[in-house]
Amino acid sequence: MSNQFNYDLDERQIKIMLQNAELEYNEDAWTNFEMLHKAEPKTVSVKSMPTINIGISRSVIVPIVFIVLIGGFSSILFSFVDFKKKPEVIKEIPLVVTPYVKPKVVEKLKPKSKPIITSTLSVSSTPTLTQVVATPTLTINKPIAEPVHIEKPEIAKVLVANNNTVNISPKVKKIKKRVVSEELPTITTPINNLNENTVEPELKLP
Amino acid sequence: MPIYSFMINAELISACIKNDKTAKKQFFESYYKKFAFIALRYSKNKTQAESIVLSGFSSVFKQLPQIKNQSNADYDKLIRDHFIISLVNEIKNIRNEYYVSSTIKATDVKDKSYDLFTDSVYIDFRNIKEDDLIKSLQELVPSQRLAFNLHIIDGYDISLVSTLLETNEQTIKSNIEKARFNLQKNIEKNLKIKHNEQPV
Repeated sequence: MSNQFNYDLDERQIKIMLQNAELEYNEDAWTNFEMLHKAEPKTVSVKSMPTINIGISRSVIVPIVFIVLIGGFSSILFSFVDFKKKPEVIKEIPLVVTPYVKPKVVEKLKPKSKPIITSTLSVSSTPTLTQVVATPTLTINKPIAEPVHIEKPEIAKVLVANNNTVNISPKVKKIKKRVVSEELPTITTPINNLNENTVEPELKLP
Repeated sequence: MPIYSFMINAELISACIKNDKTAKKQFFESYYKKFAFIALRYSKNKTQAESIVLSGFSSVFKQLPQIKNQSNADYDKLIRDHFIISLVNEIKNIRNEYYVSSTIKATDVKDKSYDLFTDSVYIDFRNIKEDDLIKSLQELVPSQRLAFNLHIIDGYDISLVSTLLETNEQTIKSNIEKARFNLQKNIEKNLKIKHNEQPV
């Protein structure tokens, strides 16, 4: 810029002139504006749901989320573990009710056979003793009239299979045989020095 | 079609917000005359002014809900301010034009040949016509033109202008000074040319 420059413009007048100035309205301007407005894509999105702003701080939400997660996870784990002992369910098998039949007395005890002693005198004059003892067997066939509560299902099954009859065989006690041990005679020997009167052979050097 | 001739500005604005075509057209018609001239002095030529006035109006229509929300406000002033800000942003966005042109320094180039008759024309700067002033203003580089328009004509503060143009206040002051010098020179030049073209 030159140093001889003199600013001659009246800014106040310019300001008034330009501020109040107007252009003539042209109808084409509106049509152009409409064309431009149609060309622009509409960015207005219609929100179906109203926006809800709740003022909860982050320091509250995060611990709640963690607590819910940990609680959910632990509940899943506890669902796999049973702490209570479940009582054993005993299934009662209903016995088949059969019409009452008058029980026949089956209880028959065989009379004990008396031991027969046969003694024969032989010529060789050596007597022999033969004793035959018949072992008695006890068979009781009792019909079970009343329903019996049986805890073990295996027995119950057996009962059903055998038409409610129980066969009980008497237990035979095993008689332990006494073993007679032989008594050996004790030998008393005098204790002497075994090394007495013994001479060790000397080694002969060549 | 309803006619909104009886309407006050608030009702017209609310009708425009509801996308009423008649209201929009009435709004456009009522503000176009003033805004078209504002666009003309902010732009470099008539073509650019026509394009930026339309984009300015569309931006004003978008801002109408915000304008309406301001209670006890002068709607005319608010709408005008929004329009000017949109114009400034539009011109600033033409980067190649705005930044490259702004780097050119204003210099007083003297003609080597001295024409007695041409230079002796008396220019009365107090009686300049509107067209000559606009033409001279449009010939300024965009940064100077914007600074001059915003501060001198529209009366915005230097700090606000610096915020709008994203430069510091010293640059704005410098640009205004350059704009003053260049505007006078442009007016001088244009009037001389005009005087020479006139039939004797």
